[in-house]
Amino acid sequence: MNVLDGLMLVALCCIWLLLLVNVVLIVAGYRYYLKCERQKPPVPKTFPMVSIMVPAHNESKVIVQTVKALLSFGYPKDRYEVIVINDNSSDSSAELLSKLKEELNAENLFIINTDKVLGGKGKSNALNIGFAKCRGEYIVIYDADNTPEKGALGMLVGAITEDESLGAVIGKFRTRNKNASLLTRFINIETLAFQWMAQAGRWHLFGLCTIPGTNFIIRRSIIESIGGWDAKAIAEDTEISFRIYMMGYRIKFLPSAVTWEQEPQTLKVWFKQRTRWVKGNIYVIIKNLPLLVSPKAKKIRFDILYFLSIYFLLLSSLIISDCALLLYALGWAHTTLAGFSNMLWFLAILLFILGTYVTISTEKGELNLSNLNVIILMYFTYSKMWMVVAAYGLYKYFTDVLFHRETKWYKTERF
Amino acid sequence: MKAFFLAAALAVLITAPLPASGSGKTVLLVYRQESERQSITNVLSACGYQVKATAQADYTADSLAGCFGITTTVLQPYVDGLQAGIPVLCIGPAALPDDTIEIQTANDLGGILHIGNIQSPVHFTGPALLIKAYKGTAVGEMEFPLRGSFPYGVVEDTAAFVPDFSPDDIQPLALALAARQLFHDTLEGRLFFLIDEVYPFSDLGMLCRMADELHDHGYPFTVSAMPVYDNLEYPAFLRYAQVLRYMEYKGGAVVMHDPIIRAAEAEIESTDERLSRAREAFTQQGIILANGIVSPYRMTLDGFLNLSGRDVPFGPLPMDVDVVIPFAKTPEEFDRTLQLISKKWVTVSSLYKMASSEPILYNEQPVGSGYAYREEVQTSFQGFFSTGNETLIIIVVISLTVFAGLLTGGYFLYRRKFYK
Repeated sequence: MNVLDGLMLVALCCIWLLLLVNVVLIVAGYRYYLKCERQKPPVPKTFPMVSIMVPAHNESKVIVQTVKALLSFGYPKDRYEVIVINDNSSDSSAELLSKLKEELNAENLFIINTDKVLGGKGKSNALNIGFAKCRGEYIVIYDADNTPEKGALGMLVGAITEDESLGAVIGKFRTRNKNASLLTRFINIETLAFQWMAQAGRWHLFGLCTIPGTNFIIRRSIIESIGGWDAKAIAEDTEISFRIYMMGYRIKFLPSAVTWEQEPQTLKVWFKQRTRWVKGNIYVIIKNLPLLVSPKAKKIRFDILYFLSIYFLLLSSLIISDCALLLYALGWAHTTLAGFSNMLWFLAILLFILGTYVTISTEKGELNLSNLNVIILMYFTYSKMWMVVAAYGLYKYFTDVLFHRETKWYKTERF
Repeated sequence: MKAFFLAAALAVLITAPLPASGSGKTVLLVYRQESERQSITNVLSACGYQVKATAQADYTADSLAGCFGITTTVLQPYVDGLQAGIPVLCIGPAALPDDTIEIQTANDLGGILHIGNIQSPVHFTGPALLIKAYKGTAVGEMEFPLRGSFPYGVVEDTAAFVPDFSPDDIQPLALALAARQLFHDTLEGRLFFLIDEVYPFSDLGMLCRMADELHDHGYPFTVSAMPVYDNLEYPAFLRYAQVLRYMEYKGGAVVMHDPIIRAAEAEIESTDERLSRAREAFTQQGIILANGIVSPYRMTLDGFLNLSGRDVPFGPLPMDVDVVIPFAKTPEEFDRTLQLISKKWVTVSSLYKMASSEPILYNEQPVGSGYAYREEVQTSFQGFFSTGNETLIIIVVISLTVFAGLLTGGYFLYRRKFYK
């Protein structure tokens, strides 16, 4: 056995371990779905004051639609405010928002326009600016491209007010432009699979979720106690999730509170967005790595390990195994490993396809043959693309750290 | 007394058995069915006789010309032979004249058949014909519990009678004894060990091991090699030939097995031409073919192991016998076979020495590395992956079943929820 064989052996074990973990999460997630189906969505018994914050940078294409949706919530208008932080925009966002406020006579709409001095430092910084103006007991965050459903806010409030152990409640996000391109169809399936597997599964088994950055509610007191958002974290959602856990709170997944958002329609935009996510998550993982051995972090160890295994173990395992297979095929390396049978690998692919299909079967309009074909295609294309972006994100993170480069917030281009 | 027996045993062991001296004599065989022809011919050939087989329908008195003896399963040749003064061996009830031996019938008999110093269990599943009364000399003895003993056959002057024969048990040996006694031949047959049906793609490594073991135990042997007609320059045949030369080096004789030729192939090229090519190929590779020297009767290893004697070693055999040693799958299997054979205290004849007086010198390098089969790569973690493979397949199949269940249930829930 040589070094490559050793690496390959470890890689195979990691890949299979994670595959089986995901199978467990899928089943747990589906059980949670069935549980939700049996229950009525939460309804707020009281109407506490809620501050909805929308950080926006050059969002002229989508901001009007978003704000209109936010102002249409089925929640008492005097019990919530919408704060749009127009963060150093160079487009017509400011004019549009101002005109909109005037047209709708929206007394609960507040617009904060920042410049490059105060703002322009990313989403976390924008949120901190908005937070300073908030009056609400609860804070809700929406991205600028989101169109939440009418009942979303009420459900989020209902869920967090009925359970004091909850530090935050996250809703579900759907892809508004899923039919725009093959890429958006991939993303649609990916986001549904992630939410029903990783979010619902982890919530059902461990009482854990990760804030997805939009469509979530959080207690104001938590933000105050942690001193706001980490301006250095470009994946501020994951960062704040860990902080909530450490305070002893839980984060609940509430699939009935739905928002519709726009996803990247081109590979270039997608690649940049996902690279940011990867870099951001790696930052958070490394920052919270010491928690693995901290007795206070018993609850979130699974999450840290899960993210660690996805971004490091799984990624490196996939890269190693693919490279090794390529080297073996070219005859540049030889293996003595017995290896698994072709039948097993075929079954594993089938498992991926069927498992993903199970997760999307919960949504209207998704249980069809077309999606099944898309999933099959995803295995051979999108999954590999993820590997590339994850590897690139990892590389960028470490080079940024090595060369002390400042983390730049990349804003996802809208369509 | 002890010294006498030791000396006698030594004499038996070191004395080369006399050849079955029937060679060259022609015996006419008149038969009713093909199965009779085949089984009786095998016995007579093993005794060294040339067999001239004639079906009953084709038999005439002229068929006796040139024959020094007759074997028949019908009556007429007996009458003609008696008139001509030719010894006749009558086999089966149809060949038995009325005024010779008295027969009784019995069903489902099991007992011991003694042939000289050889005995073996014998079993008649159907009706058996037993000699109740006779004149002349008994050949063999069948001993049945509760019924007593009966001769297997009878020799009376120039006729011998075997009322019941089938190629089962050691009845062929008894028939051979009857033939020898009738034709006044010396009684000793030879014992050979045969490894049958060796192909170029047989486990040649195992074959070499078997040869080594047989040689170390002092047993000569014969290898029946399948002929090869084409691709004679290919490494597979070169390796095959090298192994056959190794067989000869280890005291083994090589005989070319009867060809197995499909009808379509026979239309393209005659069998004789193909065999000639195959023979030539072996000869060019320096292999001495020992075909045609003897025609031993084939006996299975189990049949051989069932043989026992009043004395140790048992014998002599009335005809040449080839004991077919199965091609071992594992060294352990062959070791067990050799242990069983070793308990028999037999002397095995060397067909190779009959075929050639030249000693074989073997000093060969294996057929070139460029031609060597790629050895099966030794793999690591075989057990881990094997167990893991089975375990994971089970887990994955269970998971797939669960997913299928969720999808099935989910489909109805989906329809109820979204399409009510």
